[in-house]
Amino acid sequence: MILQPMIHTRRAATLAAPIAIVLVFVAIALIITYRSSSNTTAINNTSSTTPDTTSESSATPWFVDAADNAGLSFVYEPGPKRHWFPEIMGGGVCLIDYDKDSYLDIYFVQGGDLDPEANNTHGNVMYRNLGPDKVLQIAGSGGERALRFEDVTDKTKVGDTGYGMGCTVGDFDADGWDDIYVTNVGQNTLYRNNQDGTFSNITDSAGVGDERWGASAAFLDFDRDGLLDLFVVNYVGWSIKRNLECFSGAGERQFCSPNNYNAPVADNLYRNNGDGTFTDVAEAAGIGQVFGNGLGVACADFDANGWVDIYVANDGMANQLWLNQGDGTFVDEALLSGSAVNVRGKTEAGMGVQAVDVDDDGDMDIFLSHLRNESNTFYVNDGGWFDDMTARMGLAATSIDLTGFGLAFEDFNNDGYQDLYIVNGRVVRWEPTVSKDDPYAEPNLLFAAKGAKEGTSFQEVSPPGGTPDNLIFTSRAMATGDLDNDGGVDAVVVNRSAPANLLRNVVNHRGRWVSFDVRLADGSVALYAMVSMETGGRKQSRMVQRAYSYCASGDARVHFGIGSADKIDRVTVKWPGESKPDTFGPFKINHIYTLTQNR
Amino acid sequence: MGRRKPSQKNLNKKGKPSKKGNTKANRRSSSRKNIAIWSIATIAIIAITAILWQVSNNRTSANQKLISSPLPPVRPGENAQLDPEVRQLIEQQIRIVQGNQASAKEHGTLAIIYEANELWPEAHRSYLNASSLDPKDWVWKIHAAAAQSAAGDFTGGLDSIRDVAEEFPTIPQIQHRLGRTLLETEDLDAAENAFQRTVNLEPNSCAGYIGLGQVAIHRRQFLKAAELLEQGVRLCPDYGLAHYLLGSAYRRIYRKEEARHELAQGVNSKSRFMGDRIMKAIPKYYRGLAVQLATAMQLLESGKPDKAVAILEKARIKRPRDTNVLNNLAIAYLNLRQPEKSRKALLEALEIDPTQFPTYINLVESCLSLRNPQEALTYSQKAIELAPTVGQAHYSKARALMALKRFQEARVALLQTVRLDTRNPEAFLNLAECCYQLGDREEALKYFTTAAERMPRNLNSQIGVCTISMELGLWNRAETALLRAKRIAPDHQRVRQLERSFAERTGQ
Repeated sequence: MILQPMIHTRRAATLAAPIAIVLVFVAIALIITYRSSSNTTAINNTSSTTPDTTSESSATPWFVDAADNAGLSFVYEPGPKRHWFPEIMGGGVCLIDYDKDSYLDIYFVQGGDLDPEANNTHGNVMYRNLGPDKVLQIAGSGGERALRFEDVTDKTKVGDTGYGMGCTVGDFDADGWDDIYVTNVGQNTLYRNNQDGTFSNITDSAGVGDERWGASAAFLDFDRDGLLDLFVVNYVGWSIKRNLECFSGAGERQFCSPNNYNAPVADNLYRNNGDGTFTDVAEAAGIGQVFGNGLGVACADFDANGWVDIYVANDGMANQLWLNQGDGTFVDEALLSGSAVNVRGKTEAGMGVQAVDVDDDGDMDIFLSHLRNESNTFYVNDGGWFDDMTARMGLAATSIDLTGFGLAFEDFNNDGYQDLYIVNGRVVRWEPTVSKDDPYAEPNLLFAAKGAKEGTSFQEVSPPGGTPDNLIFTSRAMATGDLDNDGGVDAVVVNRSAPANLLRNVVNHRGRWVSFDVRLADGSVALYAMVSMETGGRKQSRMVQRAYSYCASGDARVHFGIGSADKIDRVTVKWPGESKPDTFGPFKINHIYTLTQNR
Repeated sequence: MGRRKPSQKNLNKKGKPSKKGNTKANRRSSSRKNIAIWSIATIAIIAITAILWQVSNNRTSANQKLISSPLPPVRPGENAQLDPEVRQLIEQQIRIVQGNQASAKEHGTLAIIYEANELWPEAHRSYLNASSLDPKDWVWKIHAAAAQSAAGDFTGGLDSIRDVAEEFPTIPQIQHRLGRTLLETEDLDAAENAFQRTVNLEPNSCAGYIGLGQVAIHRRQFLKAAELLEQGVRLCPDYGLAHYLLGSAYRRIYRKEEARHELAQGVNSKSRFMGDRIMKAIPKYYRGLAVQLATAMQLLESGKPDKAVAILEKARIKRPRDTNVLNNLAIAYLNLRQPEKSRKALLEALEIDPTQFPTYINLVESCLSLRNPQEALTYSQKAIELAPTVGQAHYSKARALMALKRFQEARVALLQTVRLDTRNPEAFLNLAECCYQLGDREEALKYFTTAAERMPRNLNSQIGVCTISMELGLWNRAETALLRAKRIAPDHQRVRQLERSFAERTGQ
């Protein structure tokens, strides 16, 4: 009796040991097999470059396209499908409060037909922002305030019918009213604001009607004489006579690249004479002797010597960093500074560009949008030396398959860190296409900034592009600004052969904010002044700028998101060319203030 | 072999084995059972071990099964817009694969064709087929991984490269690709390890050092980067990227002039992987027109105009009215020293489209080679009419005028050239030559110096600076230029002459 259970036990043990070993082996086998099959899945996973944006909090839209409801119906018309080079590159948009009612109006630059015999009837369009008094309750807008615009092109007389590329805004005659400069394929146009809701075309008398293919442009006071000068980026020495025919591998017509033409051109630097005229001083300044396929421009004091510099994004050629020597001349130090080509020493197809202090360290970094198979590129400024930090910032892989044009760093969600919006659109066809209607169309990208001690980085936002339905167009210019003055930065996007988008900021639980309209003592916008704000022990730094992105001009006011902070301790403005900054504050939250230089 | 019947002695009344186990027979029986159980367990363990071994060897058993299960060829995507010649090549190889579906080599060749013509998803799948059929050959696997990345699945491609590197840890090409890919993802520690393994496996290759230098630049360890990249440049003095990276390191340790020199030498150079047999085979399968043109240009740049002509003549048959093809063909013939054929192709192009600026520029070159500067001058003037603001047009005119020995006019055209296009260093060299011919040695020295700065490895510029400096008694300057010329071409006849002349005049 005693032994039996013992024998039973022994037998059980005898059985259990091998079975247990077998089971262990089976388990290991299962685990390895599972892991092996997991590896196989990973190899075949073609969508794994998409960042994880499935978290519930990030899945709500940041923008809705309110163009239709707001009465914006602008479509950029590139012309008949002849594959003439300019037909794939335009158009532009500027935000301008031309009537000084404190609401930003929208000026669209139109293409049309390049053939001189076609007698182009497509003109640029001005939309007036009707402002708070005429805000309408729009069905489907949830009872929120809605934006509303009216076409005032005829009234304002700004319907230039040149084949348009871009525009920029600045008060060149220092009368307190913003003027408009339009770049065209052909003669550019300068409109002076008559202060009565109309403009006059003063191109010829002002001497700024360069006939080359202009792209982006920027106003800046490069010689610090108190008058806004003008820099115009020119693209390629193209004419209808010189148009080339390019083909895909399958023999289909394609748009040529600038390198097919091998005809880079010099840019214009117009010095403001103070009497309504300008003189092109590019040659004397050293700029007119160097050629490039320029598309984008960003101005800032990159080397912190008190003089505003000029950065030009070139398409397929080294970018130029024109450092202002303070004596009317500039020296291109892009190559030595590290901002001419990417970290692998390769030139890229520079399209849009923005100077931005993304790490709030007081010096201006540079971001550029590029062609497919090149990532967009982020050059971080470290005391005048630039390092390509694109991958480290999380901005490389997501852009490699897209062709970027317009872009903007703005704190869209008001958390205190500048986010990034990029609009895309191809310049050549390839398969697969994203849209069945438009072979060049591509989706937009929206990145949220993740500020941290070890450096700022970005993560793509879901839903992609930040809108409920991803907007898939051949997008070009984008301008950002607070169109409804509600503390959320909105955006306007120009699309080729498709309606423009008005991206109204609807970020859920948007943070608190404050905006500053920064003015020099004479009342003009303090372009390229650096504004730093301290709140809750953290410092943010923004530059007053208008000309950034691609063929565009945005809101000149500087916008700060402040998260949950309830007051602004101090705001410091470093005026261009002045060593002594002015300090302002404290300020209430959720307000727009004007800061004027003390003299 | 059945089990032994239980002993009769141990049977109970019902003829079943007795449950009493304390008997000797019971113990024997129990012992036999134990042996049987252990035997089964051992067999099971052996079987499972075998399965495990197979699975851990990258599904070898599955691959072995695939060897006996032929794989159909990968066909191009439905939407692929293919050049007819590319399609023909693909279809031809597909037929070969269909006849030999178990051949890794044939699937691999199909993959190479897809890769050569940038059909990345198809290349990826074909390389996978080849590697399934021949899992021991690392080259299929690494190219499968690379094609996966190129097809847009960068993360998946990285995982695949990691797997291949783990499987073949002693292949430097794989370690180098792994390092490069990891660098893209800013995984600096892992990239550094991969590049260090590359150096250990292939210490005479520059690839590992350059990779390590890049890692150091990313870490902002610029001094260390400079040392590593100097080693890389020593091993591969003609590799532009190494020069660019070295310049990037120098600029951050305030060696500005050296930085400028290295950056200028290396900017826009092509990045390259360590070679393998597929990379060597790829050019054979370039077929698309755009790829063919690019290949022809590369062949021209690498001094193989005969091969470029062969490619371009084929392209001309396909596209007889493509002025781009004709212009490239003309350039290739010029390089092959057959200017008459070059001119003929260009005149054809001119007939097709008389408004094409490049045709006139190339005609100038052809006519100059045919020693017909007057005709060259005519074409250069047409080019200027078409594009008066393009420096190249004026440069062509200057070259024609120089050939006609009309140096004064040539100087004016060259000044216009450099005013319009400062990127053209050759124009400064010609300007210097013009000034010298006109007896203006100071100006000549100025422009030779500019040319030497723009083209640090150009011998004629250094010789020009040295010669004129000696004539002007600028001995230090002459010596510096002579030293630079000796670095570029120590055995060149002109350099030796200058060396002797310098020694005679200075008594050195």
